[in-house]
Amino acid sequence: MTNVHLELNAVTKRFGSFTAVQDISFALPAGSITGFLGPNGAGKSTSLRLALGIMTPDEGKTELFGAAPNLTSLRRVGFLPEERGLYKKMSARKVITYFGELKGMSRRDALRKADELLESFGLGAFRKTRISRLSKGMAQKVQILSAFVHGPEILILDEPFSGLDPVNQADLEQLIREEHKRGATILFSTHVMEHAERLCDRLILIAAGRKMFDGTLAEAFATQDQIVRLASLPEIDVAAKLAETRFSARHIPDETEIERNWWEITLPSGATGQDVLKAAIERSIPIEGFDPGEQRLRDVFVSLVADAEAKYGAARHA
Amino acid sequence: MLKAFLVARREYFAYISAWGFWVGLFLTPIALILGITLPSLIEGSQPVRYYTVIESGTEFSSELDAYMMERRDERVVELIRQQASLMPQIEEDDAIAAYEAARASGLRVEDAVPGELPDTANYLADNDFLRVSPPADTLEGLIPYLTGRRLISGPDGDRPLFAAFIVEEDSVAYWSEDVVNDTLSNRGRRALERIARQQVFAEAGVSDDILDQVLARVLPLNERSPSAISQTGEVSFTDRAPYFIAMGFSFMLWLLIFSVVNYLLTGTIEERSNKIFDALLTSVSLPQLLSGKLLGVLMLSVTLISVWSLSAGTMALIARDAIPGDVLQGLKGVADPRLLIPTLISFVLGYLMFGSMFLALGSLCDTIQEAQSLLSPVIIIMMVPLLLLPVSLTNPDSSILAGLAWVPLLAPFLIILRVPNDPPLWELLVQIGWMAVFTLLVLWAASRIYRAGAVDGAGLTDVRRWIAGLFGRKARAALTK
Repeated sequence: MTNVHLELNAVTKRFGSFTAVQDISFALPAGSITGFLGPNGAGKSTSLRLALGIMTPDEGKTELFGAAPNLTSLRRVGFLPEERGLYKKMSARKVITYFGELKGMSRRDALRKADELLESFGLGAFRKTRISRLSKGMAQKVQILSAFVHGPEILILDEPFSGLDPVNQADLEQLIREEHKRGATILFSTHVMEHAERLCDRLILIAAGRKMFDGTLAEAFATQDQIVRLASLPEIDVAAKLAETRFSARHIPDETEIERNWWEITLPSGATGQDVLKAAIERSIPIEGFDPGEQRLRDVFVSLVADAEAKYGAARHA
Repeated sequence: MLKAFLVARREYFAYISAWGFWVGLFLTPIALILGITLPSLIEGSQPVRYYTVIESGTEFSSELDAYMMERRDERVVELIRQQASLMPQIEEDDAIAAYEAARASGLRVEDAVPGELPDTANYLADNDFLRVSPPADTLEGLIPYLTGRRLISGPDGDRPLFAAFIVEEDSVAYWSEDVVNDTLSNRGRRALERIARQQVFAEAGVSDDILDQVLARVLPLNERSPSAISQTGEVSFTDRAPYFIAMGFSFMLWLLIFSVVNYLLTGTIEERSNKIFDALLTSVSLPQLLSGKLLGVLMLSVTLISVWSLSAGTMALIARDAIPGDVLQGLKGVADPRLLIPTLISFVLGYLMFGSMFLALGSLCDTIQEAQSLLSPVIIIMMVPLLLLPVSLTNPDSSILAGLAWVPLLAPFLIILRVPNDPPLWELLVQIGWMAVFTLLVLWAASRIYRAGAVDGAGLTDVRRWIAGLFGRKARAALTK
């Protein structure tokens, strides 16, 4: 059995003169939880549809379990599309059962599993309720359960958290963790960084139809300079005092106060905020304030997206 | 195949559990029965209408009364004939002779009808116009009655005056508010013809019953056909039945296709607007999805046919004693394989052709309103066979009809219509073959359009672009303006 469950290799897809995705490659190792990040319109959903063979690429190829996606390999996949929708006149139980049967389950097993899932997700009382009579959040839960019902080896979830309230988002996070514990490989797209930070061991970031990053969370942070902020007395020139060290400082005029000035200090690779404080004390810089500048995925995201838009944004519309 | 069946099963149960299906199931035969019986019911429910005659003598009114009475007698004789044919214990000719003798002895219609015949109310129902005495002797005096401002008394109570004949020296004026119904004016015209004939005959010194003598001497013309079932070649309903059955089958096919393809359209629109396609397409292939949907709705139409056929069969069984023998014999032609096999093939191919078209159109639309604009051309094409049904009965050999049977979209309906006319077998087979090839082409094109709509989200704007592409640069420029 291959260790890579899903692989896109130099895939390009165009719609007329618009290039939705350009030369995208990534692989999904077995057992990983991968966040598929990107701004709206970046090409996330198109990439996922290509990965599942719903669309065929203009260039490149996709492989699912080592071969081009087909209905046999897709039986091992659970997919939650970005655009949600269910048969509104069917009951929650029947919808989940139907999708289970389409994935190869027997009717009896699908019914049993549907009941189990509905019960464990607080929808037991609504199993015979028509989808049209459920709240939006409940209907979305039913759709998520429809993707999970057959116990897939890969779960591909396109924006699974959108439209859910915080309680249901937490429930879904828990469900994803449980599925991962069960052994499922999970890929989910989102533009909410907090979900990715909490859940993922790997990140793929695409913007303007191109892959901008593929790696671990730590590697994502490493792509950006870490910055801390230090405040000192107005008459102190921190940049001059640190000139002979490995730190470079820049005055932040916008944040000048009467009794102190704020300085932005860029950390070279491997350096920490502690090192900055130590260097400042050694050079007798009066420290009036310090902000360790905890690094957030959001900053990495914004920076990479801005780069991509600047470089490739216009070229997408040939 | 199993997945196509799962899709078909879901489609079938989704529609069969909808109240609209059951309404259609029961309403259609009711609407058909009403359509057939309502005209005569409306006619029967029309209250008696009063008319009057103003003339110096009684010549016109007497002749009109006589003509009206003759018509009524003719109608009663026809009803006696129909009733007697259903009652083996009654001899048709004896019953008619008894009636005519009773009438000749001066008995009223209702008293002259032989007592053993039921439904005597039928014999009295034809009294649709009644002559009453004129309430005034001038037109000015009649106007309030003709316009309904005043009512006139008569045997059937007080009513407005429906019409008045005013006999003048060289013409007769017919006055009525009703300018559409010309039944009474035609009867007046007929009475005038009879008066003129009597006058001319009298002037020529000829007895005025000479025309009756002429009519009595006319030899009967018996319709015969070399292909008639009876040994004498006499044409009966049994011989005409295949034509009526073919027309019925063609109409039912049209009704059935028109009823069920809408389910395909609305179902696909629902899937598109509810964004279900992506989830489905990771579980079933596009051909499986298409064939499953077509199969599901086909199962639905089989349910419709079964229920309708069972109901019609049960009703025929219950009413078999009231159905004349030749009609009953003719109705057995429903099971004639020469008609049934082409009908079944036409149904399947016609259903697939129109069904896949509706599926493809539905996949391009988010709402029914959007679909309307695309549906119009298809609906217009589907109306053509309906318009051709009555014409085909009287002109089965029309070269236009034969030519139109080669048009694939019309072929499912027209082939059935032509079967009783015994077209060459090769022609029938080639037409069915051509229809099958065209159906495959439609299925192929529909699956491509369906893919464009379901997978790539193509919509009405894209349809406009495709059409522009078909008609070249000028048309493209015009359309994109």
